[in-house]
Amino acid sequence: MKLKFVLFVGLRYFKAKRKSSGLASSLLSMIGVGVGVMVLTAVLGVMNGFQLGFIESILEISSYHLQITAGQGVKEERFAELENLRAIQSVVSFTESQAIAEGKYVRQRGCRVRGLPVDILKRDPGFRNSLEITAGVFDLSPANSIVIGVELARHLGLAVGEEIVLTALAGDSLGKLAPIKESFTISALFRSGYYEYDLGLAFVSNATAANYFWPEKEPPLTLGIKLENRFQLKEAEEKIAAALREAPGSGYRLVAWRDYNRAFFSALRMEKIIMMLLIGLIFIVVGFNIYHTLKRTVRERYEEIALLKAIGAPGSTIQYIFILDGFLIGCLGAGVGMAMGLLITGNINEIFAIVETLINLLFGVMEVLFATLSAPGMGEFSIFSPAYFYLIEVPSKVLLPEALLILLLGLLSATMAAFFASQRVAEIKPAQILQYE
Amino acid sequence: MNIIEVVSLSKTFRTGTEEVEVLQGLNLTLEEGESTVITGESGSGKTTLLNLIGGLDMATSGNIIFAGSDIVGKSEAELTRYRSSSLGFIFQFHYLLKDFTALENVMLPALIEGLSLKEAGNKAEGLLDRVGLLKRKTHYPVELSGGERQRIAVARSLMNDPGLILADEPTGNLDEKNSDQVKKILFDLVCEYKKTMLLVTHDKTLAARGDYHFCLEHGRLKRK
Repeated sequence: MKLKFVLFVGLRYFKAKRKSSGLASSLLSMIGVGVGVMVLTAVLGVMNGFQLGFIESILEISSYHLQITAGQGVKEERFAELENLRAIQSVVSFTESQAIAEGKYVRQRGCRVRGLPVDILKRDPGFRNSLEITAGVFDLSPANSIVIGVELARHLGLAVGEEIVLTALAGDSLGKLAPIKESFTISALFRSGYYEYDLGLAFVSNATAANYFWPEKEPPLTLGIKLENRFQLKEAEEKIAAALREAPGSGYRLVAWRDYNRAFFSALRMEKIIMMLLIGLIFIVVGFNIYHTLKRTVRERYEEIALLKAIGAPGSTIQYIFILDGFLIGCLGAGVGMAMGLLITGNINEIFAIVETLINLLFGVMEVLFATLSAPGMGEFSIFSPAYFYLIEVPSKVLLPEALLILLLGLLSATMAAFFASQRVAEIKPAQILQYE
Repeated sequence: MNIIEVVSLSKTFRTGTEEVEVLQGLNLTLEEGESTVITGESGSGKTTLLNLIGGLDMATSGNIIFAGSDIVGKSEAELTRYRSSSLGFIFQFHYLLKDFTALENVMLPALIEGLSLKEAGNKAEGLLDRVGLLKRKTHYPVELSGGERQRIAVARSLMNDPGLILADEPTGNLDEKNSDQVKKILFDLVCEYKKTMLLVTHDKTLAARGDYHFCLEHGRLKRK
């Protein structure tokens, strides 16, 4: 390829469109790429916000990055070295059981009761940051102290300082299972942003859990491990194995976060892929638009292409001139689209607020104009109404690899369309075109 | 010294089941630094001969030896290289690129050859000066007269210092005044730069200016 020549002619052709009839179709092509990139960036940004919110809540509050389940009789001290490993952020021993919670009224609710060290907030900053304490103080040290989710408290009609009654089955399923019932004092209410947890999770101290659920024997030892980087699972597993001087699986069982949430995370990933594919269809439409625009440009320049061939420009080099055209359309469209997409994603709540204000304003005007027709008791319009959505604000997060992928998609759709549109260049015969008779 | 030798060149066009033999075993030798003019009736095969020598069309049989190498049967890439480095084309119509200035149009062959913009620009300015259009170097084709456009096409044909200039009715599209101007400039430059030129035309005054004059009749050349 003769790069200087391609750039010289290609850039001039691109610039010349400003004066020609090709401007409108080129602009449309750019807008098409831009809209595709913008929509995909914004939709995936908001989707990431929701999904990462779920994932972070699950990992930080409930499932940890790695869980070690030890055999019967193994002491926590066996794993003391783990806290010194550089890859590990925190190690926490916990227990988990099921119980039926009752409040002052007749309503009941099943919940998971998690036993945690009393200094959990100090030991696990991720856990501390993921919980918003809406009432009371997170303190598990008093005997029978319990922290429950705000939705569970609302469901049972309970507040801080009141008693919650838990009913569970104690004993051994091989022997005799007996129901046990115990009252706990609510020391705090938490909100995680994940409805399932706010409605179905309660925290007590490890000692309280042991006394209540395993009154006659030692509870099973489970450790929750948080890593500095949760994506470096393999390295962490190797380091843990080396630190414990045993191959993984012997004496303890190590399970990674992707395994025990596989179904949920797979569903989230599938949701995102399907969304990308659906919105990505816009690039096919845009690609066709660019294909036809550039095919017309090639047809309009048959004589010039024939002349360039006659004076010694290779067909492939001339084809690059038109591919450059598509590439520039893609660059400009995708660049502006990405900027717009990032702007929308970063200000999604403000944009929703403006839209809501405008719609409510419109409703207000309509209500005044058609007072007799308006339905009484119509509430204010809200895109994500708290009445239906468990949201305080719409979360968003743009991931760099995804942003680059979207940019690449926009660029590729335009460049590939230009490549196919310029295939005719190779077929142009100067001897047939440059005839004047 | 021979720059090009055409040996037993034939070209047959097929239209449906009908075959038209435009060139029938044509022989021609062009000496370095000399101008050869071919005249003939419309449809006699003048342009076809130029296209075959210019590597723009494929011969049915025969040989075209340029600088000792046969161009018949060469690959498209080799022919492209041959056109770029060894030939200068002038067509009846100027075929200037409308989005490029006069200077840029002249620069194009040099840019294809890989020269820098500065080198190509300097060389093109020199040629534009020789055709009397340096002052109009920033003008676009639409801002120039027919004669001026054709003079720019003449300058473009000389840009890569080609061994052979192929001119197809270079004045056929011009009025008498512009035609005379282009004729003068073309022959003066060919003489000055010592170029070999093969020119086909209907114009008898133009034919008279060549070192050799042939007439193409029934697919063969006759010396005039």
